[in-house]
Amino acid sequence: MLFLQYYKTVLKMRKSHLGEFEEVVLLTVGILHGNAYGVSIREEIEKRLNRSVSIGSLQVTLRRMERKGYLTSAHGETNPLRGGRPKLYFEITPYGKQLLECSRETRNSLWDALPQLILNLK
Amino acid sequence: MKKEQTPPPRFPFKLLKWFCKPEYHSDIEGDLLETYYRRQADWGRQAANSFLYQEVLLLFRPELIHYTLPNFPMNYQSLLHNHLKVTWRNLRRKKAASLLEIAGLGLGLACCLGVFLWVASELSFDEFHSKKDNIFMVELLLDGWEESVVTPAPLASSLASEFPEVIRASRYSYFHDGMLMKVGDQQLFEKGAKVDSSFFSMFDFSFKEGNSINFEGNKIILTESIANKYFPNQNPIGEILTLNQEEPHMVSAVLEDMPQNSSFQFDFVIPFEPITEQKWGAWFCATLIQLDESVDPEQFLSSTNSLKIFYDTINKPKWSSRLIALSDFYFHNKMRPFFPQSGNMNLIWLFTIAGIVILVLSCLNYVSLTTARFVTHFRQIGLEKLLGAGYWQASHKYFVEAFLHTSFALIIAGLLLIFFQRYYDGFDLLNLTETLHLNYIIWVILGVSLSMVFFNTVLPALTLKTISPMALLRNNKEHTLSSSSLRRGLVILQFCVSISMIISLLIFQQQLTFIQEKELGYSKDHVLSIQLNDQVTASFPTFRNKLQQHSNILNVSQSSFEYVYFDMKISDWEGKSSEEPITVRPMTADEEFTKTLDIVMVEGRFYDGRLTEDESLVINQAAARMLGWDEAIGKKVRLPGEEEDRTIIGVTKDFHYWGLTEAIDPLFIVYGSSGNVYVSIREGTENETVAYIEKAYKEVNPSYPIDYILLADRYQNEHAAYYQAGKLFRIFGIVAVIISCISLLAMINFTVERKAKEVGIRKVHGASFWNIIHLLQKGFILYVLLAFAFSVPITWLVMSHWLQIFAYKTAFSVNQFLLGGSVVLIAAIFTTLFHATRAALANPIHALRDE
Repeated sequence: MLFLQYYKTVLKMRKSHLGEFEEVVLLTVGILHGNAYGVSIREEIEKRLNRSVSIGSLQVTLRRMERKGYLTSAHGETNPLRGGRPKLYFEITPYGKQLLECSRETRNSLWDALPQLILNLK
Repeated sequence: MKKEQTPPPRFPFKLLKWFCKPEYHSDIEGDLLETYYRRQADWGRQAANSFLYQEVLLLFRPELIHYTLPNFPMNYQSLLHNHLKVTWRNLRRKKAASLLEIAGLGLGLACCLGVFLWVASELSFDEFHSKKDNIFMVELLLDGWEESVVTPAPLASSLASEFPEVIRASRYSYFHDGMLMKVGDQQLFEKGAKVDSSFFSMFDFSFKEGNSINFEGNKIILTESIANKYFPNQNPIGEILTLNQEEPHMVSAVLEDMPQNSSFQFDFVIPFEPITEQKWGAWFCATLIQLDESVDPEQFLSSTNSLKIFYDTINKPKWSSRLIALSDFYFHNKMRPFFPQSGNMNLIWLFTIAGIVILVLSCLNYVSLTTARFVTHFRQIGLEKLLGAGYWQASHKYFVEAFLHTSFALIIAGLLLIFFQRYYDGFDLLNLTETLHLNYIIWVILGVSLSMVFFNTVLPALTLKTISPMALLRNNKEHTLSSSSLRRGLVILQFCVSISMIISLLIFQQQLTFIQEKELGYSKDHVLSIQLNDQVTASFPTFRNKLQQHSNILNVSQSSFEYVYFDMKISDWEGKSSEEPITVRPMTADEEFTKTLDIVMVEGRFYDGRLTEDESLVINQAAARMLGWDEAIGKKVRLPGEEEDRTIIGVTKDFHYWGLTEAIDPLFIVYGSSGNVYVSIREGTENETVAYIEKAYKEVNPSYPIDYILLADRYQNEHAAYYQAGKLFRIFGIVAVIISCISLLAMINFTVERKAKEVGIRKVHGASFWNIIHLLQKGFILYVLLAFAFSVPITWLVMSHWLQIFAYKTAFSVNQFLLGGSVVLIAAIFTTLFHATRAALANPIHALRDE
């Protein structure tokens, strides 16, 4: 029984974990609120963080987070540039928001615990 | 966004569509396109293209890839179990039909396995030496003189010392006629070789006792069987034996017997004398060299000019070399002086093809029998397909069946082969297992049987694929027809093959008879050839005198008639028109030669023995043609190595000094006495005269036993391989006909079953016996005729091509073709007649009562 409980906790902990890139993508989807689809998310990340993102890695991350329930998607309009293919808009789910907040809290608490001395040493 | 934009390349999108999961595909493609156009606007088309390719390749991720691996939801174990059971029941229920099927397969398999094992053993010659890829025999090309594998004695040691690439080198010579070995009272001719001690480091002949260290002087190495023969039950090491009555030798080691598939076959080995001076004139041995592993033999010959420089230093600037690989020794036609046996590539090809043809034939037979059975299983197959059995599942059963049948056939084939080797000398399974590696044999058997299973399954399975289940269930006539037309085609094909086999066989046989009866230009029937050793040559005149006293001995002559192995290049002759030297073959003969062998002179005279013959020369017609002389008498020619021209005094009619596979080459007959003694005997007195000759020989040379052969026998031996091939070929022809008849039997059986009702109704309405026979049989006779029409041109082409290997060949005749066709036709008629008669005589009531 104890083992099972332990296992459940570990699972929970693992579930709620957000990877660094996942967090970036999730936040960007939030920033772009209502206009978050593949190309716009990519450009936003590239612009803000100044790092290049391949479509492959972005797509994989988006799909994974959708599968985990952090994001939802819906087909939207298209334009001739896309060769008639519809855009796929993403939106953060409440669960996703909760996770983001959770992650922010963890960070904050960690920051707070950090001794001032170390920061000043720089 | 610009107005004018070029569309992106299509390939990356096709690639994406191929590997991407369909649910993700559409918006990823949209994103890619959008990004592409933006990049194109910013950085231009080229950059956008390369980005696009990069992106698509980066999309190749496990999460995005669409897996297309098929899954098998079926439980194959139970399927297999069921199919095995059904096959077994079928075997037991239809004993005769199954036996025919398996017997056909077994016959084919036996022929094919036998052939392939034999071919494998032929090709395995000399393969057992670990350094086989690096061992070569040096062939010297002497411009303006000759080309020869017989090389001067110092060549081996010089090559080894001058060239770092040559690791080892050894001389090798072989005593074709044997040497007289004597231990105590026991004396016999044994075949021996002479080598340098490095020979045993090059080749993997293993020692039973002793070793090859300090192998020199008067030592001798025996093979195991010879050691046991002369020194039974005692250790031969250190014993003394005498060779040729005068040379004592001490046994220093015992070799294991040569494997059957070794070109080198000798009973004893003695060492060469060490080279004391560089004499480049003495030609009597082969030069074997072992090159360094890293050296390419071609490169060794061509790129290193050092070989050329080396020949310059020994004052032979016109020499050059070629290397013969160890694996080619057995099949090389110039190796007669060194190896007692040689292979025949032509026969290997012929038999490989025949083996494959038989295999295909028996598979065709099996397939046509299996597809015939489809008709009785139509309902079952239809139902299986209707219930969702795929193409693979429906044919799975036939695979299991073919596998089981082939296994039984393999057993039958094994029994047949064991049976066969009892009645046929040339084929020995035990020998094969000794010479070939066991895995080699297993591979051959596995390869042949698996290809058989494959072939046997594919065609039925393909037929199954095309038949629609509904048609099967309705028992549609159309499909019955389509599958029977396939079978008809198969039967025609089979007959085509067997008719071709029989015609080829007949042509082959005729060629053999042709060889036997061909006018050879000399008489071989009553001429005895007696070998003279070097030691006996001295007493030859006495021997000849003794022979000439006997009234039944017509002529005695000495000649190198049987040893015309070598080439001689002639570059200087009267009326020469080009610089090219021509190649002729030298032969020596004394004055009695033409009389003894009945050789006809076309022009001039033969040597008469009274004049000095050093300045005269006799040639054959081929040589006169080659030299461009219409009137040869009195013309001059310079032989290589001679100071004076020789004058032509006579031209002989062409005679076949070799077998009929070779054309008659230009021949120069020089006066001299060497080689064998030929004795022509009065017809009908052979036994008594031969006894006299033996006695005379014994008186002259009491210490040497006589060694003689009738020329006719020698000629027969020369072509022995072909006679043996003819015998085997006959078996193949019979097997082909039997297999075709098996399939015909099954076909007629099947037709009679299906037409039982029709026959009954016709009989009731008054059809006669012959009407019924005609009804049942007419199709098959038509098939044979059709098959005949197809096989004639094919056989014609193949056989006329194959006969090219004989320089003198028989012409095709219509008879062979007609005979081949009618043999098969008669076999077909008799096979079908038996069954048709039974059907025609049966009481119609039995057929009609069924309803």
